[in-house]
Amino acid sequence: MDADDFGAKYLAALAAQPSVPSDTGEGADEPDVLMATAQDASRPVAERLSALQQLNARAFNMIEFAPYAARFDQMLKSLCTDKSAKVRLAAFQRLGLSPDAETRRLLHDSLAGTGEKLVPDLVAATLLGFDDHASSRDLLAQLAGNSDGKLRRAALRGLSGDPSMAGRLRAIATDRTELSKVRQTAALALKSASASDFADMAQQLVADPTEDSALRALTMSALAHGGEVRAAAAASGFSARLDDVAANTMSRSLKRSIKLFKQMAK
Amino acid sequence: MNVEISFPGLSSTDGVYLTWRPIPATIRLLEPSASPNPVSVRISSKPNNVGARLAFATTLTHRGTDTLDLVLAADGTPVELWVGGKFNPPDAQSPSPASQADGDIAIEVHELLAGTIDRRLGGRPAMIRVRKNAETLTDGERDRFLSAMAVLNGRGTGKFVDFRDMHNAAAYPQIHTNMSFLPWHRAYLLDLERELQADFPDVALPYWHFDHPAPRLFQPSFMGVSVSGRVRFSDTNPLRNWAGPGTTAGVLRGNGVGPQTVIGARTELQCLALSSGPNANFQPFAVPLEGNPHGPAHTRHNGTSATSWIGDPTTSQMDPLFYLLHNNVDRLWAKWQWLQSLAGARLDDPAAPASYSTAANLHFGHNRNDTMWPWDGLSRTGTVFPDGSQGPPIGPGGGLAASKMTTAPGPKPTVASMIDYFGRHGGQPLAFAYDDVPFVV
Amino acid sequence: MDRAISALARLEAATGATFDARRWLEEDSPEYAGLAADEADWLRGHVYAWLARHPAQAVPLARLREDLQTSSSPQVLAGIARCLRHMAVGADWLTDLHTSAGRMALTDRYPAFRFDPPATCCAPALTCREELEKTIDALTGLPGGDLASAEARDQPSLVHVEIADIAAHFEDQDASLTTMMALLSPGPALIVPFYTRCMNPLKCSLAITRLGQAARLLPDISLYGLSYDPAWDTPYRLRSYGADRDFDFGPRARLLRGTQGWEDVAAALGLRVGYGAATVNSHARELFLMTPDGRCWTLPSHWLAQPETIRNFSLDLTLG
Repeated sequence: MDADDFGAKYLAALAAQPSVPSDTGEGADEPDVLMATAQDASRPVAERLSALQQLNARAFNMIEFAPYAARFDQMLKSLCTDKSAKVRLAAFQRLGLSPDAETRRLLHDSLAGTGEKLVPDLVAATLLGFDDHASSRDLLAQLAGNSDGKLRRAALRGLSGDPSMAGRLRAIATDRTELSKVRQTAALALKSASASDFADMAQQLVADPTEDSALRALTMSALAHGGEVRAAAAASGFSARLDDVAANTMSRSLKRSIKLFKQMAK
Repeated sequence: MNVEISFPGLSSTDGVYLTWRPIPATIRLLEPSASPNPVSVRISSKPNNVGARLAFATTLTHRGTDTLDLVLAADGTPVELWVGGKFNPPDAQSPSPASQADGDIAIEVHELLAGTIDRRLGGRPAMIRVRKNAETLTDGERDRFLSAMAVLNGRGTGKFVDFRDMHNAAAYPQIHTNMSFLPWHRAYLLDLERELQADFPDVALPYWHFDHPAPRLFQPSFMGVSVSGRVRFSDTNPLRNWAGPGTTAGVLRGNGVGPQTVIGARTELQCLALSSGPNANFQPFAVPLEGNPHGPAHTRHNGTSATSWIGDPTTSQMDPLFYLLHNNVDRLWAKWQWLQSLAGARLDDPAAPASYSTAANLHFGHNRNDTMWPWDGLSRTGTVFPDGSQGPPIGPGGGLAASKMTTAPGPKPTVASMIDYFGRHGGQPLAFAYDDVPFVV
Repeated sequence: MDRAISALARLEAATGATFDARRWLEEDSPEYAGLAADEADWLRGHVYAWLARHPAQAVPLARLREDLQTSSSPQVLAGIARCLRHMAVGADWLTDLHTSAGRMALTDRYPAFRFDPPATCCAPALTCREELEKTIDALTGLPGGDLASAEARDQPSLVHVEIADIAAHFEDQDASLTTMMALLSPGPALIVPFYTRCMNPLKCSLAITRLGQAARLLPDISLYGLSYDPAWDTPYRLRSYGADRDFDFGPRARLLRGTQGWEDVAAALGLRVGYGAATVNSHARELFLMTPDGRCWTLPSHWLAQPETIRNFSLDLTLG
């Protein structure tokens, strides 16, 4: 089928298309009604969550929603201490997109145990960790030392904005007694916190065939894709050592990243 | 005796990246024969493994042919021809009838002797590089695209952060819910795509066809799967390195859209019908399009208990899926421009009233011939919109990225320069196209 | 946040005719040390609101105007709006008030000052934008000139520092090392402190963009950006940041970070910057002109958008 036939076919489909109803918004509740529903503790939780979902969608058009923005924010904050865990979670997850000082305080106190437990620790650590100023560094650093599993990894991710954490992150990434996933998380956080430390560490890890294979693949991928770390590694002549690594690995992922590194480092 | 095939702006070793819109080339005898007689040649293309091929003509036309016979002067005088990808609409049998890898298609030149093909005189590898439905990418195409995105993001405090900061809260009133929404986002995507192509010239930005399920797209190997509000990528996916804000690795996305989700917004045909026929007009198409399906494509991800960067316009650009979402919005505009032009409307002609708003004295950056923020390097803090919001200060990122395949639109694009992306009305093309939107003269 | 709340409690408890709250607005005040950026804004906003309730306190107008022009914090802007209503200011503030209200148009919030009484239907709480508009209403029609004439009154001031005594080392975007005196050896230098993680588009990003733009009009003046965040702002990050703002790098146009003695530089110049756990939490827009004879002037920050004013001032120094 050529372009002319294709066009004719589409025009025919368009002609057969029923007329398009306009988006009048009829039937949609006003934001004030939705906010009242969301705040009404006597309503079923599912209804309240649906109201919040509709409000989130309405808030996407910032200009139309502007008259309601302040009240929406105030309402969400009031829901942070709601009796329903699901409603609290939904409120924090909306506020957590761009948390302010009050929201972060509630998350911090919930996570630290110094206030009411308002959301699961993993949620709090994740939301506090997405902060390129590493404002919650102290609490997350503490958690990185005394927690485990997903929570510990979330805490480690949150340290990526602090260069002073580089030594600690490197120690975890190079500790063979740590789980591979933990080492990988620490390595990626180190990449941001200190590119030079990461590049140095990654070269040693990648070149060591006795090292964890998933970690080698991830760090090589990070070296290949990360501008600053790639430049640092290339400057130290890393490309020349990679032929041996590629020849002696079965990992397709590692080989692919080595190929990309050499292409990008030219 | 051999021939040289040249394209404007390209050296002999540069890759050739074509779309459906033919571009001019020249061919000449490189080492003229001893005989003073002209040489007859046949130009053809060697198709790739899915049958995609090139089309040739002596003028700008969408009806180029599989072969073209030319006569080359013995003294090496160049002869002009036009070369482009031969359009074939994607279908179930051939979902991706364009290139799948760099150089998988080649221009071939053979000498013609008494009307019969004789020896090969030369050729040049090329690629039909068009923006495809993400669902139709081969694993190789997908992985190259993901690597390109990860490399861009991996520049850290640099280009990707600039793309983030071009689409934040301060920029919102300048680039949304006003006339320039579609041309601005077209320029934004083009800028990003060209940045990707600077390192990965064979990559084109795919689109998320959001009124269909996307079972390949929402997998750990591609755009990831939301698990408790955080996107999980496979171990080999380059997006594992992705840092949305520039530091902390990871993407926050809700679980509202999965591999089988149809987002329940306007369908493609419904969008194309928003303003149709010979009197089709930009404003009644563009304004409702932004609300629906663009809005739901963003917000449907939220779900009832998950955080979604993509669900908030000030954070959406930190999710790599955002670029595929907006690429589909742009594709809908491109398709509408093409289809309604067949019906008589002039929707891709920057000089035609129907192709853009005719309202007078819109805010700076929204009038047809205005340059656009941030590429023009000008502040918009003096702009006060009807709701009282203020325009943004000088933005980061410099001018819009250049391309070897075209000189358009230049570092400071205007609104108008985004309208005729195929260069049908006398200008240069922008060197992108969609797999299912043909070029028609 | 507990620290910010405790600081506020100390402020509220402060009494006495000799108590001067101005120090509480300075970015490097110990009250802000260790706070996150939004906590620092929260506290600063409360300080402004507190000042509005204590009209006898002196308010540094230049600092207030700077915050009004650049902040997007609902507490800071609402606090400033309240302050201005209780001060004898004129219509020259209207431009900045309108601009700030525009900045908050789509992201309006209730400032929720801790010492405000609970809202009632007769005295509802005002949002940040409503506070600004209330102040606009109060000032509209008053005399007082315009912003341009107010800014024209800002003058450079000499910083009492011996530059030759600053034994600091710097590294630029190409990882080249240098010293303070070496930076000044070609001639006078314009210095703009900044950091690449600054999230306020009206501060560092705009400042470095303008510094690069000033190059054409200031051929005899070196242009240096100096990072507040030397641990984070590596040469790679400095180069990327400058390149994306069309900063034309050269021997006399560099972005720098301190590698040794940075704290001495910050103290000597009296840099208006505060630090949280990991990086900057608050900073002003600052502009310095240093001369080879070791003198240093603080210039009004808006001069960066008027490079001809800088050129004339530098020439006057040379001739004078």
